[in-house]
Amino acid sequence: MNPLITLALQQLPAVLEAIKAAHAQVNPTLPPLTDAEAIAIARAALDSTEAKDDLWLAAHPS
Amino acid sequence: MKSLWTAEPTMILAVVSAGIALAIGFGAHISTQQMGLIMAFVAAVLGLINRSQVTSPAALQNMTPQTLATAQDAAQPVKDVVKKLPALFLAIALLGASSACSVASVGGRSTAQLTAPGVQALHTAEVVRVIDVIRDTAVDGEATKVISTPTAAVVVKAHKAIVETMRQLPNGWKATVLIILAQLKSDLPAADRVQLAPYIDAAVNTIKAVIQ
Repeated sequence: MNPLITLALQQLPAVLEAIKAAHAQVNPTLPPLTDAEAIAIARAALDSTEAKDDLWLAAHPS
Repeated sequence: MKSLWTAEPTMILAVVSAGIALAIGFGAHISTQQMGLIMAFVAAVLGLINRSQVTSPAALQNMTPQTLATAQDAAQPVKDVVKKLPALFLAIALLGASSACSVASVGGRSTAQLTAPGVQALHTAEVVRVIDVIRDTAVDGEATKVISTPTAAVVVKAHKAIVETMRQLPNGWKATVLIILAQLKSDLPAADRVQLAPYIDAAVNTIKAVIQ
């Protein structure tokens, strides 16, 4: 298969996750999200993705 | 005369893919598994039709240099479009996701009671998801030699700068991040920009959509 198509398909799961997250339905039996929890979610996302950056940069020193 | 289908199958299939992604982005009820199956099918059909449109090595050996050059010149505009399309359809899908910019729930939990800091934090997480696609495309492309190592390094460093900005300015990162993305786009070599620019544009539009 064309490597450019393969490359795009590799990103498909992340794109689908973004779409799913944008359209998630509210479950009325669950408690509403708090500010502290939202901030913790953002912090975890930042920590996790920065760790991937550091890992790649460590493996590819310029 | 050739039909559009046989003349430019890749373009048509990519448009079909974009249509499916857009339909989901705007609320069509298709599960992740169903989407995966559809995309696998589209990719398989794409491969088959592409194969029917290319010349075999044996036939190439019988072409004169003049015939070969003419054929290559005629195919170039289509090739340029085809190079951009895979990234383009995913970028369109990302934009479809960001169209629902006021996320109503996280893990089934309502976000209705969040105040400004909580909403801002969710916007940050949403934009991280989009900029990750830029970084992951560069890293995956570098691993498969589709994108050069220096370009991937530029992208990863820009991604890290964005993350650090978001961490340091949780309520005011928008302007700085947009500048970093604009700089990244202009710094990319033309050959790699084709693959990465649609994702950068999607990230810019997402940021503008989620943060007024």
